[in-house]
This record gives sequence, structure tokens and C-alpha cells, in this order.
Amino acid sequence: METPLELINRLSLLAAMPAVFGLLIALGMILVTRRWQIEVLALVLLYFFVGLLHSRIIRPEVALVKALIGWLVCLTLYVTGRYLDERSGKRKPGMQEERLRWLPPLAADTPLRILVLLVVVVIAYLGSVYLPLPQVAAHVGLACYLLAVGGLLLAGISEEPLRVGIGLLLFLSGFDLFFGALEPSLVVAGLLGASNFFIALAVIFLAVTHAVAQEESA
Amino acid sequence: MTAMLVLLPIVMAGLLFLLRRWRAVSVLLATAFSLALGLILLWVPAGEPLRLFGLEIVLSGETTLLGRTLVLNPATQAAGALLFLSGAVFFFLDWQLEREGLLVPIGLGLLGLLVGVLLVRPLIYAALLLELVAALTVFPIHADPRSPVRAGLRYLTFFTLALPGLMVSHSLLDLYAMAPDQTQFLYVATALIAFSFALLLGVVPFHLWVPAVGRDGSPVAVAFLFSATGGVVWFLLLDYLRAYPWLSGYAEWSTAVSALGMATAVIGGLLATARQEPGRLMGYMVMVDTGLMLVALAQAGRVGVELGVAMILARPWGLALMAAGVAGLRSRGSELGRDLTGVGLAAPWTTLALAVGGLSLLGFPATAGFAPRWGLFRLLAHSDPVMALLLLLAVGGALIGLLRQLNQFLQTPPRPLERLDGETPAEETPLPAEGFLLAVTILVLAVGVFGLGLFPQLLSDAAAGAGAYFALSP
Repeated sequence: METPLELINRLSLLAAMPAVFGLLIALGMILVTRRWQIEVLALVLLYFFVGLLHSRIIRPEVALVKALIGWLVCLTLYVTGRYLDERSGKRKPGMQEERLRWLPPLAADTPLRILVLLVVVVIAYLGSVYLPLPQVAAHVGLACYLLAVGGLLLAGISEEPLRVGIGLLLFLSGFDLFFGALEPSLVVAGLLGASNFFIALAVIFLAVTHAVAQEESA
Repeated sequence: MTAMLVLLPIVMAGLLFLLRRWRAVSVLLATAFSLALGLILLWVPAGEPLRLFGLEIVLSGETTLLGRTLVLNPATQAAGALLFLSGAVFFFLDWQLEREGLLVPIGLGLLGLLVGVLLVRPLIYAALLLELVAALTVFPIHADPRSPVRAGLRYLTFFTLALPGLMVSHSLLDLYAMAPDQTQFLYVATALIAFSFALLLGVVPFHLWVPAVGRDGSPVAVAFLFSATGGVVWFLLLDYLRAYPWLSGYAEWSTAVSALGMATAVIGGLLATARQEPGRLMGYMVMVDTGLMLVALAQAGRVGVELGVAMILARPWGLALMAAGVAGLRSRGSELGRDLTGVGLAAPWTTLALAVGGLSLLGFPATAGFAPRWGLFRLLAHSDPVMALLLLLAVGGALIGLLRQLNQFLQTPPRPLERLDGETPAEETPLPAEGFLLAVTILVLAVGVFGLGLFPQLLSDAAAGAGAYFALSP
């Protein structure tokens, strides 16, 4: 019977390039959709694929811990999303909100977001070809670029704290994937995990503050 | 004891968080604790034992924490003292001025982490600790739930973007040490370090977060950020320049840093001329200050470093007073439910704080900020008079902004318009007088600002010690 770590190791060997595709799909879901539930679900998937890629670079148990930190961040984001939904549910929905509820879970500016996704893919591909990252395989380099560029653009084009926060977390995941190959120290991994978690807490705090301010101004 | 400088404030912050309902108790404990650590760092020479309440304290030069080296040298000791002493002042001001301040429980933990940034080696861990500081600083900055959160997000984004550059450059330089013929590692590392510090210091064109945080954040927490975190970023930059001396050895180093510093100061000064919200004005003044510090750093050798350190040591005095002024006037404006015109007439102490703090931040004669600026302008007058003139104009722009602001606060407020139905409009309810304790605090700080302005050797001695340690190659 295989232990979980052996299973992760086998999975990572099988799914190097598919993990990059999975990561791209999850990134697409985050960039294009408008519902926070789908964004958080995509983030869960994304941390799974990042964990798989991590296990190609660092020890599988460390990769597992990194994935667990990511999922913990997702859990905190989910609880916050629910809380904000409940808060806004106490208000009577306006006509605009009523209309949006019946639309598919896509952002109003979906064409622009699809364009942004395409730009992310093109920049990441060109970056991985012309400026390959040292000490990592080509597909891992591509994944790093996808996450960093995608996160940066998401943080840049978003206004809501939760989306900006998800952008920052994506950016840090891309960096973490690359830096794991350069510096496989456990203390660095731990401090990067703590940074992720504190950023998530800060973003949650800002999201709740933002919601309170909006309620007061309404 | 060196490791305790990092751990004790973090543990104490945890305890104070539990006591946060009893705000007076937690503030007084935090202030006393921070003051005690600051005074120990100021007075106890490294390596010499001190007996305190039966305990023997030795500030050793080098120790380890979780397998990482912590190095205490004269420069980091002075910087640590500055952190804890200014922390004590900001904690006390936060209690006096912010109804919903979060600075006290979180600020003490931030001080522990910031001291960690100063002490830990290799510098890669300093970058990681700085990221933790950035994430935690968001809480006190946005303690007031009515403030727009965009500034906090922008600040967090800029600090997060700075992290990879600092960390990757370290690894690239290790690779370069193993393969000296691969010069591209060196160039990329230089570019990454420059980009990261430009983000962290708010250098043009990465300055957007500085005035935004000033406008939207709680003034005392923002002043803490600009003084404590800003000071530590400055010392971290000096550490990088000391650890990698070839960074300042580039032929273009002096020109590039001067140009960036001048652009930051001039743009900050220019934007400050428009009548601003006072917090935003504080942000622009910090931009002018940062620009001047960079120009000082670009001047060759030890004198430039000394001037820069003297400016960073003078900064908390001006910012603490300015924050007291901004917070006091803002709260009065929100109580009246109108703009801040004439608010200063009912709040003379906070108006005085804004005026004196602003003047010190601008380096007005006889204030704490004057001596290092005078030194810089004298240096530039010989080497580059055009730059000296441009920087003087930048300072003048910020001074115009401050005077316009004070003019607004001290104007007689407009009378309410007579109503159409002929009834006399209700008079504004007079605001309560300023607290005695707040007035005394402002007076003590103002006396300190003028005292350091008249006796600048107190600052210059500390700056000279740091300058000797960090002296760059001329």
C-alpha cells in the first residue's frame, strides 16, 4: 500500500505538463469569472497543481505542507466570502444586483478578461522561451511565469480587496515555485508560507472593512 | 539578550492583544516596555554587562535564533533604539488620538519583526520578515472602518512586488560567486535590488502608495509606517550596499541615485503645492524627504551616509507631531460634519503640532530636520548648484502646501446660509477643548524638535557612528 507521499511523487512524475495545463485552466477560471465561490474553488485546484509541480523540485512532504497552507488560505477566503454574502443578504437587493444574480457567473467585462488571459499566456510563453528561469525545468518556468504575470494583472485590474488579494497570492505562488528550486531551505519555505497566510489575513480584514464602509455609505 | 530584542516584543504583543479591551493599561504597558528597550539599546554598550533588577544583561555582538545569525553592531543598535523610542511615542499618541487604534497590540510585534530585519543574516530573511511587517501593518493603518481600503491594498501590493527581487538577487549573487564569468547574474541582481528598493522607498515612479496611505490611513499608524518601516528599509539598503560593495561601485551609481532622488523630491514638492487633505500632504512631504535622503546617499563616501542617517533619525520627530495634528484636526472635522476650514481656531495645540511637525519634516531652521539638510545643501552648493536649487524649490513647494493648509485651518469658518423659510440657521455646537495630556505630549515633542534643532550634535553623533559602519567606497 502506497503512502500519501509516494502517491504524490508518482502523480508528480505522471503529471508534469498536465499540471501546467490544469494550472492554466484554474488561472483562467479566476481571471474570467465573477463569483467569489468559483474563484476560491479555482484557487483550491491551483494550489493542488502548484503542489504537484513543487514536488518535482523540493521534498514531497514540504510540497504537501505548502499545498496545505494554500488550502488553509482558501478556507479563510471562503469563510470571508460567505460572511460578506450574509452581510449583504441582510440588505434588500437593488435592481442591478437582482439582475446580476440571474446572469451566468462571468464578469461583466468578460471579453476584456479573456483578452487579459490571452496576454498572460503570451507573456508567460515568451518569457519562458526568451528569459528562461535558472535552475528550473522549462515547464516549471512556464508555470512560474503564468502565475506571476496572471497574479500581477489580476491585482492590477481589480478593485475589490478579495480579488486583489487573490492576485497577490497567485504572484507569490509563482515566485515560491521558482524560489523553491533556488533555495530549498525549510525556514524560507516556512516564512514564505507565513507571508502567504498574513497577506490573506490582511486582505480579509480589508474586504470586511470595505464592506462595512460601503454599508455605511449606502 | 540580542535574540530577546526580537522575541520579547512579539510575545508582549500577544499579551497586549489579550488586554486590548483595557486600552489605557495596554497602552501604558506597551509604551513603558518600548521605552525601556529603547533606553537599554541607547545606553548599554554592546558586549558590556548591565545589572537590572538583579538580572545581568549583555548585548552580545552575534547570536543565533532558529539557526539564523543575528548581528548587533553599533549601527543596528542605534537603529533599534530609534525604533523602540519612536514606537513608545507613537503608542502614546495612538491612545490619545485614535478612538479605534490597533497600533498598540500589533505595533509592538511589528517592532520585534523590524528589529529582526535589522539583525538577521543572511539578508534574504530580512526581506521575508519585511513582508510579514507589510502584511501586519495593514491592520493599524485601516483601523478606522470608514476609511477607503484602496491605500492599504496599494501599499501591500508594492511591498509584495518588492519581495522577489530582494530574495532572488541574493541567490543570483551566490550563483555569480560560483561562476564569475556569468556576468548576466550580476546585472540582473543589480536591477532587481534597485527595483525592489525603489518600490519599498516609494521612489518615483513607484510613489503612488505614499500619498495614498497618508490620505486614507490612520495618521498615527501611517507616521509609524513612514518612520519605523521607512527607517528600517533605509538601514536595509545600507546593509545591502555594505554587503555588496560593487553596487555603489558602478560608474553610473551616483548619477542614477541622484536623478531618482531629485525626481522624487521635485515631484513630491510640486504635488504638495496644491491644497491637499493634510494626510496626503504628509505623504508628499515624506516623498521630498526620501528624495533628499537618496541625493545624500549618492554623494560619495561617509558624509552622504551620515547625512542620510541623520535625516532618518530626525524624521520620527516631525512625523509624530504632524500625525498628532492631522489626527486631531480630522477628528474635529468629522465631529462638525464639514470640511476643515477654521477647525484650527478651536484646536490650537493640534494646529501647532501640524505646523511644527511639517516645518521639521521640511528642514526649517531651528528644527530637528534642519542640520542634515543644511549639510546636504552645503555639499551640493559646491558640487552641483543646479541640483541644490531644484531641491530647494521642492522643499519650497511642500512649504507652500503646508502654509495653504494652515491658512485653511485658521480661517474664520463660513457662516451657514440663511434658510429660505426665513428661520435663523442653527449655530454649530462648540467642540470640546483639547485634552490636557495631549497638549503636554505635543508640547514635549515640540520642545524636542526645537531642542534637536538647536543642539544637532545629539543626532549627528548617532549618525556619525552609523556612517562609520556603513561607509561606502568614495
